[in-house]
Amino acid sequence: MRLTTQTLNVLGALISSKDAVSGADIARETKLSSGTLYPVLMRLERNGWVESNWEEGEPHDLGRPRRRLYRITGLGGREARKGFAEIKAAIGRPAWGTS
Amino acid sequence: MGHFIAALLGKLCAEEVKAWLPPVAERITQWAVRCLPKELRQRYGEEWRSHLDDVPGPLAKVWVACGFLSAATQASSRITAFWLFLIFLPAIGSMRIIRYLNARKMYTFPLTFLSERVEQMEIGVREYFEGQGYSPNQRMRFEAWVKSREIPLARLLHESLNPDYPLSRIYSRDVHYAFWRPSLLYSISEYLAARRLDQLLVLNSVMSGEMSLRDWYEGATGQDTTLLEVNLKTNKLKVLRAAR
Repeated sequence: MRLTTQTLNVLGALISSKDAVSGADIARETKLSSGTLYPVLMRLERNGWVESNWEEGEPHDLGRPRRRLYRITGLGGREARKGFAEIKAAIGRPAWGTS
Repeated sequence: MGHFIAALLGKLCAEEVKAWLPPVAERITQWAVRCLPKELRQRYGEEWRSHLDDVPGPLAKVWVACGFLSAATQASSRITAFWLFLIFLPAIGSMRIIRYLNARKMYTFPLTFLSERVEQMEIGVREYFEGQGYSPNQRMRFEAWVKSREIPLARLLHESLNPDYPLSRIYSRDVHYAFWRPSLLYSISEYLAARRLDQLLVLNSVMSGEMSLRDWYEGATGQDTTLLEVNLKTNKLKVLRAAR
Protein backbone atom coordinates (compact mmCIF):
# COMPACT_ATOMS: atom_id res chain seq x y z
CA MET A 1 0.00 0.00 0.00
CA ARG A 2 1.31 3.45 -0.94
CA LEU A 3 1.88 5.73 2.03
CA THR A 4 0.69 9.27 1.46
CA THR A 5 1.23 12.16 3.87
CA GLN A 6 -2.39 11.90 4.99
CA THR A 7 -2.07 8.16 5.61
CA LEU A 8 1.06 8.75 7.70
CA ASN A 9 -0.76 11.47 9.63
CA VAL A 10 -3.58 9.08 10.47
CA LEU A 11 -1.17 6.29 11.40
CA GLY A 12 0.81 8.72 13.56
CA ALA A 13 -2.36 9.76 15.41
CA LEU A 14 -3.34 6.13 15.98
CA ILE A 15 0.14 5.15 17.20
CA SER A 16 0.33 8.07 19.62
CA SER A 17 -3.05 7.37 21.24
CA LYS A 18 -3.12 4.70 23.94
CA ASP A 19 -6.81 3.87 23.59
CA ALA A 20 -8.95 3.26 20.56
CA VAL A 21 -10.14 6.54 19.06
CA SER A 22 -13.12 7.64 16.99
CA GLY A 23 -12.99 9.18 13.51
CA ALA A 24 -13.87 12.59 14.98
CA ASP A 25 -10.92 12.35 17.41
CA ILE A 26 -8.54 11.42 14.57
CA ALA A 27 -9.89 14.30 12.46
CA ARG A 28 -9.26 16.71 15.33
CA GLU A 29 -5.76 15.34 15.93
CA THR A 30 -4.66 15.25 12.28
CA LYS A 31 -6.71 18.27 11.12
CA LEU A 32 -7.81 16.24 8.11
CA SER A 33 -11.24 16.81 6.62
CA SER A 34 -13.78 14.01 6.83
CA GLY A 35 -13.60 13.63 3.04
CA THR A 36 -9.90 12.77 3.28
CA LEU A 37 -9.93 10.90 6.58
CA TYR A 38 -12.57 8.24 5.92
CA PRO A 39 -11.18 7.01 2.57
CA VAL A 40 -7.79 6.65 4.31
CA LEU A 41 -9.37 4.75 7.22
CA MET A 42 -11.31 2.53 4.80
CA ARG A 43 -8.10 1.69 2.94
CA LEU A 44 -6.15 1.01 6.12
CA GLU A 45 -8.90 -1.22 7.46
CA ARG A 46 -9.17 -3.12 4.17
CA ASN A 47 -5.43 -3.82 4.30
CA GLY A 48 -5.51 -4.92 7.95
CA TRP A 49 -3.41 -2.04 9.27
CA VAL A 50 -6.26 -0.75 11.39
CA GLU A 51 -9.16 -2.46 13.13
CA SER A 52 -12.37 -0.93 14.41
CA ASN A 53 -15.14 -1.81 16.86
CA TRP A 54 -18.30 -0.17 18.12
CA GLU A 55 -18.02 1.45 21.51
CA GLU A 56 -19.76 -0.39 24.33
CA GLY A 57 -23.35 0.50 25.14
CA GLU A 58 -26.54 0.93 23.17
CA PRO A 59 -27.49 4.19 21.43
CA HIS A 60 -30.64 4.62 23.58
CA ASP A 61 -28.58 4.22 26.78
CA LEU A 62 -25.85 6.55 25.53
CA GLY A 63 -28.36 9.10 24.23
CA ARG A 64 -26.41 9.45 20.96
CA PRO A 65 -25.23 7.27 18.07
CA ARG A 66 -22.45 4.82 18.97
CA ARG A 67 -18.90 5.75 18.04
CA ARG A 68 -16.78 3.48 15.90
CA LEU A 69 -13.39 3.22 17.60
CA TYR A 70 -10.21 2.64 15.61
CA ARG A 71 -7.03 0.95 16.80
CA ILE A 72 -3.81 0.24 14.93
CA THR A 73 -2.91 -3.43 14.41
CA GLY A 74 0.55 -4.99 14.81
CA LEU A 75 0.99 -5.04 11.03
CA GLY A 76 -0.09 -1.40 10.76
CA GLY A 77 2.33 -0.36 13.52
CA ARG A 78 5.27 -2.10 11.84
CA GLU A 79 4.50 -0.69 8.40
CA ALA A 80 3.93 2.81 9.77
CA ARG A 81 7.26 2.83 11.59
CA LYS A 82 8.93 1.63 8.39
CA GLY A 83 7.22 4.47 6.48
CA PHE A 84 8.28 7.08 9.03
CA ALA A 85 11.90 5.82 8.87
CA GLU A 86 11.89 6.11 5.06
CA ILE A 87 10.53 9.65 5.22
CA LYS A 88 13.14 10.62 7.80
CA ALA A 89 15.93 9.25 5.59
CA ALA A 90 14.57 11.07 2.52
CA ILE A 91 14.39 14.46 4.24
CA GLY A 92 18.19 14.82 4.19
CA ARG A 93 18.40 14.46 0.41
CA PRO A 94 18.51 17.62 -1.74
CA ALA A 95 15.34 18.27 -3.71
CA TRP A 96 15.62 18.47 -7.49
CA GLY A 97 15.75 21.83 -9.20
CA THR A 98 16.58 23.98 -6.21
CA SER A 99 20.00 25.12 -5.20
CA MET B 1 -33.15 53.77 10.60
CA GLY B 2 -31.84 51.97 7.54
CA HIS B 3 -28.91 50.58 9.55
CA PHE B 4 -31.26 49.39 12.28
CA ILE B 5 -33.47 47.53 9.78
CA ALA B 6 -30.40 46.04 8.06
CA ALA B 7 -29.02 44.84 11.42
CA LEU B 8 -32.38 43.37 12.40
CA LEU B 9 -32.80 41.60 9.07
CA GLY B 10 -29.22 40.36 9.24
CA LYS B 11 -29.81 38.91 12.71
CA LEU B 12 -33.07 37.28 11.63
CA CYS B 13 -31.43 35.76 8.56
CA ALA B 14 -28.48 34.51 10.63
CA GLU B 15 -30.83 32.83 13.11
CA GLU B 16 -32.84 31.30 10.31
CA VAL B 17 -29.73 29.91 8.61
CA LYS B 18 -28.40 28.63 11.96
CA ALA B 19 -31.66 26.77 12.58
CA TRP B 20 -31.64 25.21 9.12
CA LEU B 21 -28.02 24.09 9.02
CA PRO B 22 -28.19 20.97 11.29
CA PRO B 23 -31.04 19.38 9.25
CA VAL B 24 -29.09 20.22 6.08
CA ALA B 25 -26.02 18.46 7.51
CA GLU B 26 -28.22 15.48 8.41
CA ARG B 27 -29.67 15.35 4.89
CA ILE B 28 -26.23 15.51 3.29
CA THR B 29 -25.07 12.69 5.58
CA GLN B 30 -28.08 10.58 4.57
CA TRP B 31 -27.28 11.32 0.95
CA ALA B 32 -23.66 10.31 1.50
CA VAL B 33 -24.72 7.05 3.15
CA ARG B 34 -27.00 6.26 0.20
CA CYS B 35 -24.02 6.73 -2.11
CA LEU B 36 -22.08 3.99 -0.30
CA PRO B 37 -22.14 0.34 -1.36
CA LYS B 38 -25.03 -1.50 0.39
CA GLU B 39 -22.85 -3.50 2.78
CA LEU B 40 -21.27 -0.33 4.23
CA ARG B 41 -24.39 1.79 4.64
CA GLN B 42 -25.51 0.72 8.10
CA ARG B 43 -22.05 0.98 9.61
CA TYR B 44 -21.11 4.37 8.20
CA GLY B 45 -24.63 5.73 8.73
CA GLU B 46 -24.22 5.33 12.48
CA GLU B 47 -20.52 6.19 12.54
CA TRP B 48 -20.93 9.43 10.61
CA ARG B 49 -23.91 10.52 12.72
CA SER B 50 -21.79 10.06 15.83
CA HIS B 51 -18.99 12.05 14.14
CA LEU B 52 -21.45 14.87 13.37
CA ASP B 53 -22.52 14.81 17.03
CA ASP B 54 -18.93 15.52 18.06
CA VAL B 55 -18.57 18.52 15.74
CA PRO B 56 -19.35 21.88 17.36
CA GLY B 57 -21.13 24.54 15.33
CA PRO B 58 -23.82 24.12 12.66
CA LEU B 59 -21.68 25.40 9.78
CA ALA B 60 -18.85 23.02 10.67
CA LYS B 61 -21.39 20.17 10.69
CA VAL B 62 -22.40 20.98 7.10
CA TRP B 63 -18.74 21.11 6.07
CA VAL B 64 -18.04 17.72 7.69
CA ALA B 65 -21.18 16.26 6.06
CA CYS B 66 -19.94 17.44 2.66
CA GLY B 67 -16.72 15.57 3.47
CA PHE B 68 -18.78 12.41 4.05
CA LEU B 69 -20.28 12.85 0.62
CA SER B 70 -16.83 13.12 -0.88
CA ALA B 71 -15.68 10.03 1.09
CA ALA B 72 -18.75 8.08 -0.06
CA THR B 73 -18.19 8.91 -3.71
CA GLN B 74 -14.59 7.74 -3.37
CA ALA B 75 -15.76 4.44 -1.88
CA SER B 76 -17.79 3.73 -4.99
CA SER B 77 -16.12 4.20 -8.37
CA ARG B 78 -19.43 3.99 -10.22
CA ILE B 79 -20.82 6.91 -8.24
CA THR B 80 -17.58 8.86 -8.60
CA ALA B 81 -17.88 8.80 -12.36
CA PHE B 82 -21.56 9.74 -12.13
CA TRP B 83 -20.89 12.73 -9.88
CA LEU B 84 -17.95 13.88 -11.91
CA PHE B 85 -20.07 14.11 -15.01
CA LEU B 86 -23.03 15.62 -13.21
CA ILE B 87 -20.98 18.33 -11.52
CA PHE B 88 -18.57 19.15 -14.33
CA LEU B 89 -20.93 19.03 -17.27
CA PRO B 90 -22.27 22.57 -16.61
CA ALA B 91 -18.67 23.79 -16.24
CA ILE B 92 -17.73 22.32 -19.60
CA GLY B 93 -20.86 23.81 -21.15
CA SER B 94 -19.93 27.27 -19.84
CA MET B 95 -16.39 26.94 -21.18
CA ARG B 96 -17.73 26.02 -24.60
CA ILE B 97 -20.05 29.05 -24.61
CA ILE B 98 -17.20 31.39 -23.62
CA ARG B 99 -14.95 29.98 -26.34
CA TYR B 100 -17.72 30.34 -28.89
CA LEU B 101 -18.34 33.97 -27.95
CA ASN B 102 -14.61 34.68 -27.86
CA ALA B 103 -14.12 33.25 -31.34
CA ARG B 104 -16.82 35.56 -32.70
CA LYS B 105 -15.64 38.60 -30.76
CA MET B 106 -18.96 38.83 -28.99
CA TYR B 107 -18.43 40.70 -25.77
CA THR B 108 -21.97 40.63 -24.53
CA PHE B 109 -21.25 37.77 -22.16
CA PRO B 110 -19.97 39.39 -18.93
CA LEU B 111 -17.17 36.86 -18.34
CA THR B 112 -15.87 37.22 -21.87
CA PHE B 113 -15.98 40.97 -21.56
CA LEU B 114 -14.04 40.90 -18.31
CA SER B 115 -11.42 38.42 -19.53
CA GLU B 116 -10.82 40.42 -22.71
CA ARG B 117 -10.34 43.63 -20.75
CA VAL B 118 -7.87 41.96 -18.39
CA GLU B 119 -5.90 40.51 -21.28
CA GLN B 120 -5.51 43.93 -22.85
CA MET B 121 -3.82 45.35 -19.75
CA GLU B 122 -0.10 45.54 -20.32
CA ILE B 123 1.65 45.42 -16.95
CA GLY B 124 4.89 43.49 -17.43
CA VAL B 125 6.77 40.87 -15.45
CA ARG B 126 8.86 43.28 -13.41
CA GLU B 127 5.82 45.15 -12.15
CA TYR B 128 4.11 41.87 -11.49
CA PHE B 129 6.93 40.61 -9.27
CA GLU B 130 7.36 43.92 -7.52
CA GLY B 131 3.64 43.98 -6.87
CA GLN B 132 4.04 40.61 -5.19
CA GLY B 133 6.57 42.12 -2.80
CA TYR B 134 9.80 40.82 -4.39
CA SER B 135 12.90 42.99 -4.62
CA PRO B 136 13.87 44.16 -8.14
CA ASN B 137 17.32 42.53 -7.75
CA GLN B 138 15.93 39.15 -6.86
CA ARG B 139 15.95 36.03 -9.00
CA MET B 140 12.68 34.18 -8.96
CA ARG B 141 12.09 30.60 -9.91
CA PHE B 142 8.72 29.37 -10.92
CA GLU B 143 7.07 26.50 -12.66
CA ALA B 144 5.05 27.25 -15.73
CA TRP B 145 2.37 25.15 -17.30
CA VAL B 146 2.83 24.78 -21.01
CA LYS B 147 -0.46 24.53 -22.76
CA SER B 148 -0.37 22.73 -26.05
CA ARG B 149 -3.12 24.73 -27.75
CA GLU B 150 -2.46 28.19 -26.43
CA ILE B 151 1.26 28.90 -26.24
CA PRO B 152 1.77 32.03 -24.17
CA LEU B 153 4.90 30.58 -22.60
CA ALA B 154 6.58 30.06 -25.97
CA ARG B 155 5.76 33.67 -26.80
CA LEU B 156 7.01 34.79 -23.43
CA LEU B 157 10.35 33.02 -23.98
CA HIS B 158 10.70 34.28 -27.54
CA GLU B 159 10.07 37.85 -26.50
CA SER B 160 12.37 37.69 -23.49
CA LEU B 161 15.30 36.57 -25.71
CA ASN B 162 14.67 39.33 -28.23
CA PRO B 163 16.53 42.53 -27.16
CA ASP B 164 14.06 44.70 -29.07
CA TYR B 165 11.21 43.23 -27.13
CA PRO B 166 11.85 43.68 -23.40
CA LEU B 167 9.97 41.76 -20.79
CA SER B 168 8.03 44.84 -19.86
CA ARG B 169 6.02 44.35 -23.05
CA ILE B 170 4.72 40.99 -21.99
CA TYR B 171 1.03 40.90 -21.42
CA SER B 172 -0.47 40.18 -18.05
CA ARG B 173 -2.29 37.27 -19.63
CA ASP B 174 1.07 35.54 -20.21
CA VAL B 175 2.19 36.20 -16.67
CA HIS B 176 -1.10 34.83 -15.49
CA TYR B 177 -0.60 31.64 -17.49
CA ALA B 178 2.98 31.27 -16.33
CA PHE B 179 1.88 31.26 -12.71
CA TRP B 180 -1.35 29.51 -13.29
CA ARG B 181 -1.82 26.07 -11.77
CA PRO B 182 -4.87 24.16 -12.87
CA SER B 183 -7.64 23.57 -10.37
CA LEU B 184 -9.33 20.19 -10.15
CA LEU B 185 -12.37 21.62 -11.93
CA TYR B 186 -10.33 23.05 -14.79
CA SER B 187 -8.23 19.88 -15.13
CA ILE B 188 -11.28 17.70 -15.43
CA SER B 189 -12.98 19.97 -17.98
CA GLU B 190 -9.78 20.11 -20.05
CA TYR B 191 -9.46 16.36 -19.80
CA LEU B 192 -13.05 15.83 -20.94
CA ALA B 193 -12.41 18.17 -23.85
CA ALA B 194 -9.40 15.99 -24.75
CA ARG B 195 -11.70 12.91 -24.50
CA ARG B 196 -9.13 10.68 -22.81
CA LEU B 197 -11.66 8.26 -21.35
CA ASP B 198 -8.93 5.84 -20.26
CA GLN B 199 -7.72 8.47 -17.77
CA LEU B 200 -11.05 8.52 -15.95
CA LEU B 201 -10.16 5.34 -14.09
CA VAL B 202 -6.80 6.84 -13.08
CA LEU B 203 -8.69 9.79 -11.60
CA ASN B 204 -9.83 7.51 -8.80
CA SER B 205 -6.21 7.31 -7.64
CA VAL B 206 -6.11 11.11 -7.46
CA MET B 207 -9.33 11.18 -5.43
CA SER B 208 -7.94 8.58 -3.03
CA GLY B 209 -4.70 10.55 -2.62
CA GLU B 210 -2.47 7.91 -4.22
CA MET B 211 -1.52 10.08 -7.19
CA SER B 212 -0.96 13.80 -7.45
CA LEU B 213 -3.32 15.93 -9.51
CA ARG B 214 -0.35 17.28 -11.43
CA ASP B 215 0.75 13.81 -12.58
CA TRP B 216 -2.76 12.98 -13.65
CA TYR B 217 -3.24 16.31 -15.39
CA GLU B 218 -0.06 15.92 -17.43
CA GLY B 219 -1.06 12.43 -18.55
CA ALA B 220 -4.67 13.30 -19.25
CA THR B 221 -4.23 16.53 -21.16
CA GLY B 222 -0.74 16.21 -22.64
CA GLN B 223 0.31 19.42 -20.91
CA ASP B 224 3.60 19.74 -19.13
CA THR B 225 5.57 21.99 -16.83
CA THR B 226 8.73 23.97 -17.34
CA LEU B 227 10.92 25.33 -14.55
CA LEU B 228 11.98 28.89 -15.26
CA GLU B 229 14.09 31.48 -13.56
CA VAL B 230 13.53 35.17 -14.07
CA ASN B 231 16.28 37.62 -13.20
CA LEU B 232 14.52 40.81 -12.30
CA LYS B 233 17.71 42.86 -12.57
CA THR B 234 18.51 41.96 -16.17
CA ASN B 235 14.96 41.16 -17.27
CA LYS B 236 16.06 37.76 -18.54
CA LEU B 237 14.34 34.43 -18.37
CA LYS B 238 16.29 31.18 -18.14
CA VAL B 239 14.87 27.70 -18.67
CA LEU B 240 16.07 25.45 -15.84
CA ARG B 241 14.14 22.42 -16.92
CA ALA B 242 12.23 22.18 -20.19
CA ALA B 243 8.94 20.40 -20.52
CA ARG B 244 9.31 16.73 -21.35
